[in-house]
Amino acid sequence: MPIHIKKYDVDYSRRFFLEKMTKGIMGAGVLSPLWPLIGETADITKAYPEELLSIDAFTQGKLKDGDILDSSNVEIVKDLLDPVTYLQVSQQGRRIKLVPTTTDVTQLFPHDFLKASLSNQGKAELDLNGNVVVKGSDNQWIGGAPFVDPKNGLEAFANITLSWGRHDTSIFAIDDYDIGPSGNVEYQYQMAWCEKNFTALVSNPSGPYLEGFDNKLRHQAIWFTAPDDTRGTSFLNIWKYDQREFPDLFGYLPAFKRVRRFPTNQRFEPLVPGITFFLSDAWASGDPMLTWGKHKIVGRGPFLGCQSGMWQGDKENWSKEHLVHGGKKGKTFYETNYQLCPEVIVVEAEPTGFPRAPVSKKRIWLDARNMAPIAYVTYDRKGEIWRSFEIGFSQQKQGNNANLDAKGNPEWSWSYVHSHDIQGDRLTRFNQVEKIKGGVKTQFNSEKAYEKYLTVQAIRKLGS
Amino acid sequence: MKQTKTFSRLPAIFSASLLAMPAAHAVDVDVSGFIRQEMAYSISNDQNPMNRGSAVVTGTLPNSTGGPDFVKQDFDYDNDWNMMATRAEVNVSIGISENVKAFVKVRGFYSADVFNDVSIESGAKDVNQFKVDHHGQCASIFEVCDDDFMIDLASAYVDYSEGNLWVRAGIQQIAWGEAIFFRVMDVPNGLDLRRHTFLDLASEEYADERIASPAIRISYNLNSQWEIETFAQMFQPSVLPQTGTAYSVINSPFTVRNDIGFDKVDNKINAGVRLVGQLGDLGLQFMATSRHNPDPIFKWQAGAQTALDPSFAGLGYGDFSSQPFRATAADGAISAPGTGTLGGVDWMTVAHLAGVDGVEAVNVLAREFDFIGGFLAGELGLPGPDYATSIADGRLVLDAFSSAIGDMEASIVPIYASENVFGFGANYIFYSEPDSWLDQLVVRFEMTYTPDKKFTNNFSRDFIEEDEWVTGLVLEKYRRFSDDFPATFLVFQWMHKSESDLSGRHLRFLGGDASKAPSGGEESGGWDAVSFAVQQALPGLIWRLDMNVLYDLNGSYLIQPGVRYKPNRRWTIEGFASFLDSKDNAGALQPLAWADEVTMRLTYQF
Repeated sequence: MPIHIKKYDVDYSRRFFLEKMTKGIMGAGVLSPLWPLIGETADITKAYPEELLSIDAFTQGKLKDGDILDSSNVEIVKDLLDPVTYLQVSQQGRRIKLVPTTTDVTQLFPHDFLKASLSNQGKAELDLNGNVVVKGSDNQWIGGAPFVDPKNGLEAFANITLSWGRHDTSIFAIDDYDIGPSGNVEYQYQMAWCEKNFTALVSNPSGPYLEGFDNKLRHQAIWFTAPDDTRGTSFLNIWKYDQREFPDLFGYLPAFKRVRRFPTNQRFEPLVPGITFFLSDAWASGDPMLTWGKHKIVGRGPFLGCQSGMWQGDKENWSKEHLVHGGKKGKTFYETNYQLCPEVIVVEAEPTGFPRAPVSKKRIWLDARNMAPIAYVTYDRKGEIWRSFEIGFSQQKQGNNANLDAKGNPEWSWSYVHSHDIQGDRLTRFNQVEKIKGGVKTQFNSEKAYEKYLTVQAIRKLGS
Repeated sequence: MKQTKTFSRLPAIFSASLLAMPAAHAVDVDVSGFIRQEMAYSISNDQNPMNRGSAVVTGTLPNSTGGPDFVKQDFDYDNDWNMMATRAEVNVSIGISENVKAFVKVRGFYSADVFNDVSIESGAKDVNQFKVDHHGQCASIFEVCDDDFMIDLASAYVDYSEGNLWVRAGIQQIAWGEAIFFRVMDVPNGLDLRRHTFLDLASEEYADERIASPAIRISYNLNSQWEIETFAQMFQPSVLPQTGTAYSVINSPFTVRNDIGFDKVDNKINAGVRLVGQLGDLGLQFMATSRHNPDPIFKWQAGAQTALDPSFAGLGYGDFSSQPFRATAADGAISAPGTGTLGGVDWMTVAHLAGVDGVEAVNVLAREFDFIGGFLAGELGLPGPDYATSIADGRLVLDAFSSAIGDMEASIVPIYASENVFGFGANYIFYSEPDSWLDQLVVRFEMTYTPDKKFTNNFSRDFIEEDEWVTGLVLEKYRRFSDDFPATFLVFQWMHKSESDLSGRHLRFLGGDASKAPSGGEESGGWDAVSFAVQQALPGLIWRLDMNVLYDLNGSYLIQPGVRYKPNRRWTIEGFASFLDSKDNAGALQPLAWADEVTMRLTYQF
């Protein structure tokens, strides 16, 4: 049982974060720097006072772990929620379960990524163009989060852009439910997402780069396997390492029966009817980071977000249907686990490379423990909140049941997404599942992913 | 003619891959599909001029031989609906192992009895919309059909992939190139135009029409930039709308002898190879195919109407049955009396409507069939080798025949000529000042060259043989005009063909009419068309507005506005109108210029 220092109350933390922002001190941690602690023991309890590690202490007993956050008590933690989540809970019947803060950082990363983040700590810098290089060289990044203590907004964005899924290769099987203004599930899709990095590799025995893919960061594909009228619709993005450049985009549309090359700047459009997911949304960093501008850190402090306990390994196909509730018909939200995240870094950026984007700004809350984007909202051209893209992260472990990596460690990934267009009142729910139609299974570091899903040939054969 | 094939061939196709299936692997089967009602309502006062019930030439017709005028009955048959069909498609995806997957698409299409041609004896008559004498009585190899329905395997293939290799074996469509609607490099497959011709939504391209057949297709990624692909596919001809049906482009007195034409190429294999890749920001394609052109060219077929041989034996020009014409009133005719071509005006009008030089077609008949050559020289004073040299001569010939035997019919044989097609394509995305029109403008260019390509030559057995160049230029742009609406998709395309029009009719014979010889188009540098398409989705993509315009510089056009509404996952409602016109017979769209219509499609997917 860790000993917590009671003298640091909530106001102390608030003053501390304010002072940090004012003085431009960017290291994470309140009582001591966070990352040296993580490097030593992976335990963050010595970095933060108890008030930042327990919702009970933070709210002075008004809320405790296991409580359900709903419209009756959400005002207590209004300042710890992004405005869309607050709206969902206060007005739309959403319920959130409060769970203990994760203090063991090994539960907040895939094993190899955490290892690389620690071993490569301090080795990254931004070159004159704003791209991440190994300090003192022109070499591309070598893996892990490049800036565990980001000093500016761009460094913070680099942490979530260079390695989206924190695995060298990820294949996600996704059940999608799109809820309309009526509160009904109006559209339903099954889709797959595959991404493979060619640089900044963390599990590759040969090192951080994959031979033959110079100057490329990753290939990423999204394809639909159901229903019938979208089955075979596939898009392949080829990302360059230079974050000033747009990815190349190839698409297979069933009507055309062939792969065609597409312009790539339309990244704020739904891919299929009824969905509220845009390419720009992915991982809160769906566009090359230097196609956006005016990156800045605008705040620090505690926040509520989903970082644990969402993997439903005991349910058929990892289903979360038993957690669905809220909205007009009780079909809108998953009941999710939120924990008090002791320190988030709030960053903003503007789509300076997209003059006609319907978005004027995005704001992201990055958990300082693992740099995961636990909340993300965008604003329309009038400056009003338009959408949120809430990603729930979780270790894939539930009691004795776990999805293990090649070395026997529990996998870690995103588990669900709530993408909510509050102006159109449409919400898209993603659930990462074990398997979807078409035989696609969620997998990490699959050796055959490139040939199967990430080439022009591959998306042609995915079509029918 | 071959015997009707059945679905029983399927097991053989799949057996090879099933052998590779690991015994313990669970086979993953997924079934989905949709049912759709498709309706096309005519909004024009015009009717198809190629059908007897709405024939373009009727009434009292002059007879230049000095004999009594001809009278061709005017049925003025009026069909309100061009199409009323129910379509069902069932897709079965089968995951056999990690490397082996199979896919089967069964398509059923039932055409309700809303469109009729005319029977001389009994008024309205049902029409045969689907039976074609290719494989048995149906068009494609795995198809069952009758007059008003068809069920076929639109796809039935097995995929095998291992590393950089991908093999697809079985019934499949193969689409090449990037141009939409204008088929430049899209040469592997022909089109099945029996259902709704090409008047489905233009933005859907030819997904439903491109006709599949058994093939093996192999692709190999040479590296991360370049891919080589090759295919070998059982020859499958294009299928034109059947004579007498709503969208027929063949004049009703003509019978297309698919049985004879297809027998010459049954079991032939088309093959091709393509290299696709990226050179920096430049996308490139190179292709070569060796094929029998699935789009037919036609030649006359001897009529074999022996019933009239004795009547003409005394002329000394040989057997009447050795030439193509048949008198509908005599034994041995396929059609009923009164359904044929009657006199020179009828002949010239319809020939030029179909892109045939009415006068030269007469001369071809005279040169290639002794009976007709002798008749023209001996009875009409029109000696060879040029025989008829004017519209008046040509009309005289047909007036003379009709005076002798009444209205006539004939048979033509489709020929699927062998040819080699070589192609090159490139695409490039311009990057410029953000928000400028040039920024992210996609430019695609495609070009094919077919040496010694053969074209229909007024139904002569000596086809026109010329090199043909086909080029296409595509400009595509997504642009947001408003914060409130998704980007508008804008496409401009230009197509140029050096020798023929959109459907492959040689330019030399286009533009004539009953009183004017064809104007041709070669002298003016070939055939050109431009198209412009706009697609505007509304927020959420639940509504989508389409506008497609195709303008043939020879003077015909297609304008197609449309709307698509997808209120939920199950239902889709689409409506679009097609407006077509042509200033004269030179227009590529002249054969369907009458077909203004509104189409509605209501789809339920499962």
